[in-house]
Amino acid sequence: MLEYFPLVVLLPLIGFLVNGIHYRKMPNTAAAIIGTSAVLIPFFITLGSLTAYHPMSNNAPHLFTLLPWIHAGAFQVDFAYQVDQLSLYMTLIITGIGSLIHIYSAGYMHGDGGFNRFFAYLNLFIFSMLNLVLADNLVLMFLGWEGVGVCSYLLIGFDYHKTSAANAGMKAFITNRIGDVGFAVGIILTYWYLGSVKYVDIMAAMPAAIPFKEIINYVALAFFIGAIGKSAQIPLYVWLPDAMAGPTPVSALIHAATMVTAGVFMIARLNPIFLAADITSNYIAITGAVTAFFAATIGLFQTDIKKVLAYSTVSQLGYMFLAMGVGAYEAGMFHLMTHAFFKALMFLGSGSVIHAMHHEQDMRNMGNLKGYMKITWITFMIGTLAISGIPPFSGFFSKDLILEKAFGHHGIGHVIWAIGLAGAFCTAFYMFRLVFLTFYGKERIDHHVKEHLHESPWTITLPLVILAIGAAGAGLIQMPHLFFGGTHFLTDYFKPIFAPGREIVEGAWKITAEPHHMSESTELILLVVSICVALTGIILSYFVFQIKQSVPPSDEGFKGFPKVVYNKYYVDEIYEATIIKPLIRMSDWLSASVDKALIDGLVVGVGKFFMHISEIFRKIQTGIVGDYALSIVIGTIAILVVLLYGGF
Amino acid sequence: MQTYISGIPLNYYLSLAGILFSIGVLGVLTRRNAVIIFMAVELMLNSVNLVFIAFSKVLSIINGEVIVFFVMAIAAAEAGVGLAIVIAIHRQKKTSNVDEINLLKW
Amino acid sequence: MLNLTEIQPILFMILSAVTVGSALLVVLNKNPVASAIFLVLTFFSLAGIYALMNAIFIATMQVLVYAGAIMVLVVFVLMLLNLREETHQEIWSNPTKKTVIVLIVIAYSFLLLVSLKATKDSDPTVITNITSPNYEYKLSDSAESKVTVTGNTAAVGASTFIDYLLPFEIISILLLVAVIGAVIIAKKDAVKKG
Repeated sequence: MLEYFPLVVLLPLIGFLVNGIHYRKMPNTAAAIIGTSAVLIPFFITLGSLTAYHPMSNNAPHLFTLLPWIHAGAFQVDFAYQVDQLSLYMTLIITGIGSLIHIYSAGYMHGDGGFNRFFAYLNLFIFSMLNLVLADNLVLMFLGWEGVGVCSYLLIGFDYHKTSAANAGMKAFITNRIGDVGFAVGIILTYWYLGSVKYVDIMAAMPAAIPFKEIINYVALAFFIGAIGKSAQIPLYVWLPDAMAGPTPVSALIHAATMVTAGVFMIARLNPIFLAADITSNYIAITGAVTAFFAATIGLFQTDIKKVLAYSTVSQLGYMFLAMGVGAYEAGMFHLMTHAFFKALMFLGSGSVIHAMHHEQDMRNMGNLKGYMKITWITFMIGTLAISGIPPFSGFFSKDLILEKAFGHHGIGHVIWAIGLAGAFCTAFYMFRLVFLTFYGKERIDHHVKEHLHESPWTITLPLVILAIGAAGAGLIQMPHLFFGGTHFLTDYFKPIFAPGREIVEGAWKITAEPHHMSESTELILLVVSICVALTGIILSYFVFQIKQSVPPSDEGFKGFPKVVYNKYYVDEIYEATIIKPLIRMSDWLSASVDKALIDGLVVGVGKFFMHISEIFRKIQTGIVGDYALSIVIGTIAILVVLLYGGF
Repeated sequence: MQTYISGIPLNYYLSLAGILFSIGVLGVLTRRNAVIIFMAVELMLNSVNLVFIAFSKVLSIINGEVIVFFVMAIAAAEAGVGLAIVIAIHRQKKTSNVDEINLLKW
Repeated sequence: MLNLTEIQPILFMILSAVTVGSALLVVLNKNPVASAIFLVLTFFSLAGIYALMNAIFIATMQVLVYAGAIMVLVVFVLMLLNLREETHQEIWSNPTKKTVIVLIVIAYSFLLLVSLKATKDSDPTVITNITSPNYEYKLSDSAESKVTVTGNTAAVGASTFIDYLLPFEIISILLLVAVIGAVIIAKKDAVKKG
């Protein structure tokens, strides 16, 4: 099956081209089928390849090249792909959840004028994302990185007539680009010191590269800056909440399951660099923890259902970076997968709600929807239980693993653990707040909407059910000892990816990164504390929102500190005033003075100069033959004088 | 070394040719009537013929005279076509004043 | 009897004076027809100079072609155009043109005087007189095919028809073309009537 793997990369591209070229004439059903099969077939190929590759016992990656690209002396980059445990893992998530979202979009986008265009963009996104995860070198990963940024822009601003969507698309792209500078610097530094951008070469060259070891913290920081932009950490997270202006399937696919996890994936791929860069890794862990808590606090007061999920995504990404920062790469990847399941599930569920409520997104106008939309309600509950960290759902196992590894990290481990725990409390609280306000309680629904309120069609509910199964059961592959003796399927699976890095860093470079080994009793205590914190949040939320039936006030009703939090701590306004406005003023000044006056003046001036000279010279053409004869005579005499006295 | 042709120094012939040529140039530059300019051009051609003959005699080769023969033939052809042009212009513009034929002005 | 060597310088002086004088009158005369007549006189005296140099053929050609054919054509055209006298006023009114022409005259006179003076000061000891009427003409470089022609006309003829045959033929075509061209240019547009 592995020989069919190139199709995995090529089929989405073909889907994009077919749908993109014929988007005017193609019937909607055909476009949906082409688009979905372009992602579904790669999913099955990947499943087949997974068994063919024998990941539990295979140590070497499977490499193949599709096209040559850059051959410039010592710098050789091809469209070459690397199939190993990490990329197979990511590809399964991308194609699996991607195909579910394609099916969902067929129902959700029904009747939209840009239906075919939507599927074309989705396929292009899948293609870029697959390039990102399957690349065997940093430059192709960067190509995929930029490609998903472009697709994010195209898909957020899909309804380009809507100003908020268009602006949000631009904001996403520009903020991503700020981070990408860091990524590019990282690539340059890696190439400069190690002589290659291919992962296998980097791994081979690292043990002997002592100058690289000296600057390893800067390299890791450069790469992390790229991750901050792409994966919405502080301070570049501001694009993600605004990106909710795009259609809901886009939010589910890009801003929950795949694109925002690119930063986490990148750290996993370059794990030796990050393992050796202890200062930067601490910084990553702190950033992750603070982002997790900060975003969770904002989520406490939001009234738009998608905004709550957006801040929840930022918060959960913070957990993933927390894990990567303390060196628990398996935990981070685990949470990536479980988060992909339950966040996509919740986004699609909210989409189902919005679709049924005729595009009403404000939770203050919902309530008691469980009576009308049973499947959506049950699957959404499963997702919420998963994110809150209640066993046996998947989110519990991944989040608990992260917090446990954080606690065991030397130095700042306890502080990070405490911040993470506070964030978990807030997460449980506001997620159940969402559930209670939307599905329970008094009905605050507008009666026009209530007349047409019914469960969504099968194209919408089938993906919900499949994702719910995943969100419920995916945790079973990595359970701690206390649960039936524990499974460590995931750590075994990832061993060929992360073990070589640990060998290089601890063996050749002599940097110790392994956290303290914890006793079983500590593990048990941590586990119980996590569950208690989550349950406290749920009970408190139940009390406030179900018993007391407290509903958030209207926008003007917020006062004092809640008002500050509701307005996202005015971060966007601060950026606007301190960074954006001065930049715009400076560029206006430069445009007027340097561009218009100087450069345009020079260019136009050259033309004007020649016109003036030609004005002078054209007076010679008087049209009178006698003048021309005179010039001939003068010329002849000049030649004669030169010949006679010039010494020729 | 002074060379004599039939008892007269070569230089005299050459200076005579030079004087005739400059008179021709003077005529071309000064006069405005097309036919008179043409006659001045004939004068220049004749001065050149004189130089050719003179050198042909000095070097004892016959080629100079042959060239003169051809120059005369060409001058005749030129006279025919040139005067035809003058007539054609005179028919159009009723003048043969070269200063007034200035359509190719800037 | 008349000594040839004594007459030649005097003859040359007279002929060259007439030439220069009538040339000046050609250029400076206001009446176009008078200019034409003086040009004929110039051509005649030039023919005399050619004869003095023993270039008989050319002298004859000069009279026949230049003075006979070309000047007749010029006089015809002058009569056809019915030209008036032109005034000299406008020519000398342009100060730029006047300055340039005066400068040219001065420069040329200077050059002329300098060249004449230079040759006069050179060594006069070796004198070569060229008056031979016979001319030996070689057909080709090989010694057998030598043709000896006597007389200036024969020499010119031999050279024309043997060495310069191709240019000769082309000149005849040129004359044909010139005749056709002159006819076409000067023809009245018969098509345009009505």
